Amino acid sequence: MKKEIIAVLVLLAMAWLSMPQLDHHVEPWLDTVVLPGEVEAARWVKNNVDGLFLAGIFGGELVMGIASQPSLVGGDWAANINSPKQMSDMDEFYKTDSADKAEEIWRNYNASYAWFPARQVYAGYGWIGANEEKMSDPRFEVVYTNPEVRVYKLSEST
Amino acid sequence: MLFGIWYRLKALEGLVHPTYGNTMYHTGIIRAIVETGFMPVYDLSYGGFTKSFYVPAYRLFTASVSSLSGTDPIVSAGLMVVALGAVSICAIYLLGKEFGGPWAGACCAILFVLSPELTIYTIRPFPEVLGVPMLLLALYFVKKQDLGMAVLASVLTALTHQTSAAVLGSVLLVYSVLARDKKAAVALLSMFVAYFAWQLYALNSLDIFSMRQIALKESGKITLMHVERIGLFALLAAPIGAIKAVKKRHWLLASFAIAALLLAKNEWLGIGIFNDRLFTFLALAVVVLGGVGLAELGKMWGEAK
Repeated sequence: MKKEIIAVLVLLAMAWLSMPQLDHHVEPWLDTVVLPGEVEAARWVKNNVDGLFLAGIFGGELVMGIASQPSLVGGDWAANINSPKQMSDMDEFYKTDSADKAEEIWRNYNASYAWFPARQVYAGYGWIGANEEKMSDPRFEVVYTNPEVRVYKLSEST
Repeated sequence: MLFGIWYRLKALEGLVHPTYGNTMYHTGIIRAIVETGFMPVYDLSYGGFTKSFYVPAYRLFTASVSSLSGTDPIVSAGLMVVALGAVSICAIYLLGKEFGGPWAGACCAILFVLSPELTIYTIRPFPEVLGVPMLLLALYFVKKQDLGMAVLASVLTALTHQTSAAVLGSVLLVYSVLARDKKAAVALLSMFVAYFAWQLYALNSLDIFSMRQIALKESGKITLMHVERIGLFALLAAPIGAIKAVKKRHWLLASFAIAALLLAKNEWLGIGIFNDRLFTFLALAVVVLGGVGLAELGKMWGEAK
């Protein structure tokens, strides 16, 4: 019996010694990345609109997860032969300061909405800050906004 | 077990469940199944332009839990992390017990819940959380020579998670050859048929080499950090477990270690894909070896006293 008690104490000591290493490595993977306002926006999407979203991987997957709507990037890239091109186009869509370029990408994919969160975005080629100034062009209009995300569509007049 | 469950409750703490690893994409398909009653024909990924072909077991299982319990798929997916974490702990206990008795099983379970690498891949709601316990159970039933259950667990692994299936298939192949085990060969054949039947149904094609991840050789380099993430005690005790596996002719355990190593370092075979993903299963093999080794150390200490 004494041996069993010692063995249990040894295993508990191992657990105690391993905890800092466990937390150090695991905690970053528990990050939800997306902002509370984005979750609210995705719920609005679910109840109000549908169509293809121009969004980064985390924003796009949030729209998938809450509203079951597709996104230009995000999810499983195995079966789509164009997935690398879509990632580079989405990256370009966020980076460009040209409203012409943004509209061209938008129309190429016949997208319905674009997702601009108030955080860095990731479309497959590194974390970047989205250039949102171009979206003030009259060709785009905001359909949903809260302090943490704006959702755009193409203006009816374009 | 309690520690493993308590730690996995972290998956339920956020506003939504953890999002790294395309988890929300899987939840989106689960939601579509819950809301329509059918598997969507077209995927949500990368524009939704292609047919959905990801193996369905995890999605159908979680969708069923969501429908039956009336919980939102995000909550159900988080609960699956906790429930399937408990199943994984039981499964690794059973497998370890086969190689060194109850203490070996207990040591395997403890090293599993203390392994950062294995926790990272079983604390987020995606198919790995079902793939890992199914793989462990398939190996357990192969060891028990229970053909029916071995076939069932292998087929479910093949229909749950492609990477887990590739690992299980490789282990069964090596073991079939090393131990000339016909039941393992039957389990291997069954999972092979199950996977390709699904792919033929979903994509009308048996071609796996034109898939983007394979064609473009998706891979992440294995670094010292990955090795550290296996867990210090598992790493220290694994060599003793390996010696025991060879001395006692535990060919299934040896096959697991050999296949997992060759898959994680598949550039040695001139392939070079999915190294970091496959490394998780090498960590699983090291944890089983470590658990068996730790129990052996305890036995030696007991005998010396």
